[in-house]
Amino acid sequence: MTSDVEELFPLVFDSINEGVFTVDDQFRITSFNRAAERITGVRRDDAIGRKCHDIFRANICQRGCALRETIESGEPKRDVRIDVLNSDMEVVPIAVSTAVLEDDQGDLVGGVEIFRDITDVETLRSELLGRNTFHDIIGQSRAMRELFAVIPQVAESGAAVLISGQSGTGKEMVAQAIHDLSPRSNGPFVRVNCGALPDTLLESELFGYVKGAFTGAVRDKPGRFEQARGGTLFLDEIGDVSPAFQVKLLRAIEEGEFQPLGGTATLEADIRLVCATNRDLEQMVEQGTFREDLYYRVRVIPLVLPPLSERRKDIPLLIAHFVKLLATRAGRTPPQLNRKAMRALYDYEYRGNVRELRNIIERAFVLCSGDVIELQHLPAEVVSPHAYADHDGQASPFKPSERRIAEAILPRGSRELERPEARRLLAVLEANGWNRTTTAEALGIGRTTLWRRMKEYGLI
Amino acid sequence: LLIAVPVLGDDVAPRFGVADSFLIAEIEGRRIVQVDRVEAVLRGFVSRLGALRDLEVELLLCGGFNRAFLPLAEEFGIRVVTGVAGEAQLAIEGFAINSALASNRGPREWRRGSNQEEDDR
Repeated sequence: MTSDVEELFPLVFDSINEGVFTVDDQFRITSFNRAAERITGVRRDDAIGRKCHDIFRANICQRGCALRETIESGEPKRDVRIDVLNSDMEVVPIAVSTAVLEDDQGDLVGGVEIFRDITDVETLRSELLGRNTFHDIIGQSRAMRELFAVIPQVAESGAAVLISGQSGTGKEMVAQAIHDLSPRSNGPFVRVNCGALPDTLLESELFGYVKGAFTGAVRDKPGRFEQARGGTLFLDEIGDVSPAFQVKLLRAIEEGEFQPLGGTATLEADIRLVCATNRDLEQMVEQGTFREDLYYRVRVIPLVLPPLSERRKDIPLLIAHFVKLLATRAGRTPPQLNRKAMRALYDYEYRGNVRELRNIIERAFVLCSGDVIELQHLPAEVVSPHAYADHDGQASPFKPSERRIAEAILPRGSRELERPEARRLLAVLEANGWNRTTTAEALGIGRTTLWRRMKEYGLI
Repeated sequence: LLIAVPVLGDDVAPRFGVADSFLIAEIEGRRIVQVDRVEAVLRGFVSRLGALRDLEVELLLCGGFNRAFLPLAEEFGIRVVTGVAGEAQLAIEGFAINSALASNRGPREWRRGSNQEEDDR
C-alpha cells in the first residue's frame, strides 16, 4: 500500500493545477511540479537547487516573505496575494499558501508553498469593478498594462517627459495622469497646443506680457509658464514649434526662468515639463528641423503610446466604455453591438486611433434608435473597406461617388488617390460635404493634420 | 565599462525595484578596477534607472526586472541582463572574465528593438 502511494505521488504532484514547490531550511528548492513550471516559465531541472527568490522574484522576497514567516513561526498562511516575475519578466499575480515541512521526528526540514496563477481572476475582478482603466485611460492589452506600470514611476521622478504617439492615442490623458500622480498634483495642469499658434502668439501665450508690450496689451497677462507655477506645463504638438521659437523655449527650460513680453523682470519657471508629439522628433533632429539640445531637454523620459491597431484587444473594451458613457448621458439603455458590427470595428484600421473610434461610436449611437448597433449604423469606410466594381467590371479602389471626384480632380494617370489612406480620406470628406472641421472630427485628427494630408494627396 | 548589480545581502537581488543596494563595478578589459557598494536611496524604478544613467552605467546585471521598464532602460542606454543569480561579486567577476552568463543559469540579455531576448549561455 505504501509503495503504491509513493508511486502515485509524482503523478499526483504533476497533475494538479496548482504550482507546488518545497524548500529546505536554506530556501533551496527541493521539488517543483509541472504547474510551477508553467506559471514561472522555469524548468524543473533549472529550479531544483536554486534559492526560491531566484525563481519567483516576488515583490515580497526581500521583505515579508510568506514562506520564511511560516518557517520561522510554524504558522501556515493561506491565499496571500502577491506578484512574481516569470521568465519573460512579466508580472504574474498569484495567490500562495504555505506550510512547514517536518520529518517523522517532528523536526523542521523546510517548507512547502502551493500557488495558483490568478491573472484571470484579477482580470475579471478588474472588469467587474470597472478597473480596466488607469486614470481614465482604458486598456487591458499588454502594451497598456506595461504603460500603466510605468506611469506612476515616471510621475514620481519629476523629470521632463516626452510622450510620442499618433493622433488620438491619448497623449493628453497620459500627461494628465503623470501630473495627477506626481508630487505636483496639488498644483495646476496647464496645456498649450503649440501647433495651433504662430510664434508671436505662442511667445505671449507661454511667457505672458506686460501692459503696453504691444498694441492691445492693456494690462499685464501672466503666461502659461506662470500659470503652471508649482504644477505641470503640458506642451502638446511640440514638434510643430518653429526653429526660431525653439531657441526661446530652450532658454526658458535650460535656465529655469523667462521674461514676459515687454517686461524687464525675470520670472522663475517652477514647472514640471511634459511634452507630446505625433511627429518623429529624432528624424526631425537629423533633418535639422528640431534642435538637438531641446530634444534631449524635453525627452529625459520618453514614453511611446501604441496606436490602436497594435492593441486591438482593447477595442471591445473601449467600445463598451463609450457606449455606456453615451447611454448614461442620454439616459438610454446601452445598446448592444451585433457580431458583424463588432467584427467590422475590430478589423478597421484607425488612423485617428481611440478618438476616431469614439467618434464612430457616437455616430452609431445617434443613428441607432433601437437596442442593437448594426453595420448600417457604422460609416461606410468601416463597413466596406474593399474594392468596388468599376463600370467595366474591373475592380476600382473608389466608390462610385469617390470615382467621380477622383476623375474630376486628378491629373490623368495619377495614382496618388488610389492609396488606401487617400481613398479613406476622400470618403470621409465626401460624407461630410467637404467640411474640414467635421471631417477632422470624424477622423479624430486636427484640422492642421487634415489640411496636411489633403495637400499630400492633392486634394487641395 | 560600468556595470551595476542590485544586491540582497551578498546575492544578486531577486528584483531590481526593491533592492536595498547596488554594487557598481568598473571593468577595464577583463580586469575589475573597482567595486563600490552604494545604498539605493531612491525608491522609484525610473529614479533608480535615472541615477544609474547619471553614473554612466552601461550594463545592469540583475535577477528580475519588470519588462514594462525595459524600453526605458534601453532609452537610458542601459543594457539589461536578467535572470542572473547567486553571489553578486561572483557575477561581476564572471562577467569580467566573460563567463558571467555561463556561471548563472537562465540569464537573458534584452536588446534594442523588439525587446527580444537572446540567450547568452
